[in-house]
Amino acid sequence: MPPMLGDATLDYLLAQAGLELTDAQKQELKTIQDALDAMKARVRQPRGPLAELAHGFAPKPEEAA
Amino acid sequence: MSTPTSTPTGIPTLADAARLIAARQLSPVELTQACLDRVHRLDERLNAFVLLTEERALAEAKEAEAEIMRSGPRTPLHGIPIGLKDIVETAGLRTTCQSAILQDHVPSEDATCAARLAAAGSVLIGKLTTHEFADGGPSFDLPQPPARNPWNTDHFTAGSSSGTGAAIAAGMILCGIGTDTGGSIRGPAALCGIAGLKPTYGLVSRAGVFPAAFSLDHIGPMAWTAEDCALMLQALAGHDKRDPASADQPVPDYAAALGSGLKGIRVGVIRHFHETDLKVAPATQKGIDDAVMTFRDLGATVTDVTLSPLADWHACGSLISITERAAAYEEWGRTRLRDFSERVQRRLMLAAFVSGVDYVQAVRRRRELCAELAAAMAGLDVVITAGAPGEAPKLEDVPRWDVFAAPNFTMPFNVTGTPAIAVCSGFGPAGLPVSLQIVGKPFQEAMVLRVADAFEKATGFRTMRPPLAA
Repeated sequence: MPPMLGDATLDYLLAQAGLELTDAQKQELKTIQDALDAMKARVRQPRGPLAELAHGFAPKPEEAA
Repeated sequence: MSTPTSTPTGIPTLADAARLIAARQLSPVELTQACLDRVHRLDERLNAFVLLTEERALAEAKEAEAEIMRSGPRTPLHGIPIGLKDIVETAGLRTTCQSAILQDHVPSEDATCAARLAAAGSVLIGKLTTHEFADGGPSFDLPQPPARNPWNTDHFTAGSSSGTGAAIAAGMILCGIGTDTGGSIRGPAALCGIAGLKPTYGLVSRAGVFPAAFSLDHIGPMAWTAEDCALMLQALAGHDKRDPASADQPVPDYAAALGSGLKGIRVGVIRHFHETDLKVAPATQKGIDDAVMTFRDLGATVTDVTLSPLADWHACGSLISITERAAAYEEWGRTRLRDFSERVQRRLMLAAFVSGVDYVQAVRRRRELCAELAAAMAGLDVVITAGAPGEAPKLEDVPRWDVFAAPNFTMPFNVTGTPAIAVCSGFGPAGLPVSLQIVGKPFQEAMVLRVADAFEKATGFRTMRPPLAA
């Protein structure tokens, strides 16, 4: 279980996002940290090369000629 | 030609109305007036409309009728009453996104989908209720109240195309536009007992539609039946240079394959999605089991399919959605956060916790999941699972943080961008609809619609309308 998000860290993250929240909203936001972390854990896994972000050019036949 | 499915309420399907109009046996003016009468009678209880365009609708209907009498209908949509979700821009007509921020917003240009439906000859009855900016859930702190379910007005319609779902189920329009970023066409279709198709990403232009999450947003048809969705999709599909995601490829005749049966069609069941990953209500499970039997009776083969857990698809889609939405509305998030509903404020707040690395990892996972579904469908024509977990909950029971309450069955196909339709598969103990979802390969909408249409016509659910609409 990760430590509960501290006020200073939360304030920093919100400032980065440019959001000004009420104290009640900040407290509520802390309560969903675990659920969000669980989501992140599902996508933070080793990936193969086919999962790289990449441009995919697909010229039409007449353009490729 | 299909059997007419007009109900005891006298509300025709789009397809039936089109046939009757073409035969000059149904007047577009009378059809439009009947829809408007239903709006006046029912919408105080349903809140499906944010803007009623009555004068314009009657003028368009008269014009359509005159043209049809002279030279026949342009398309099956000619003279058909429709509605547009209120995130679809309409020239000269207020487009509010159900938000306090846009109460005075009057666009100068139609969204491409609105323009194409108008060119097909449809009659615009009005703009339809949505969750604010197609996000957040049912809110009571917005300029207009949330839509209510015609099957029981204490219950949720799902969203965000909530007004479109309610208006079609109650017969106030014959079809309408929905948008779908994580299930916003298929969710309301499921809970309101109608048909809703999320097409392949890029098939229907998003130009002129307010974004929710750029790479997950889809525009699509909602109507009483799959056949109706096919007719509507015909008018909507096709390349549009105003949308950078628009696919440039030929548009087939979507209605052509309807009625050709299911002999030899290969159906996969993603059983673990709805039986173990998120166990559905008994009525939904029965609907799926009965559907499998129906498909077999119609000559299809049915096998099980295993994919990554439903929660993986949900996590991937949700992280992308949270981030892209915050980017789309960053300026207003910084300057007008308090002008959003509480629910949308909460969604925008989440982005503070999702880093750039998190987003990229989600996009990498998406590439794997797309490949996984493509491989699983290599020997299949469609796969099926639930459209929703069960009957519609009461409005007050919708969770504050619904994104974390449970994964849904629709997000996987926003992640992959593949076509998927929700159709009614029965009714639960509370008398509310339950739903089946049918998913196809990219740009294989014709197959999805063919299977959905065969299912609807083999079952009796399309003869049932909400009692309120009688």
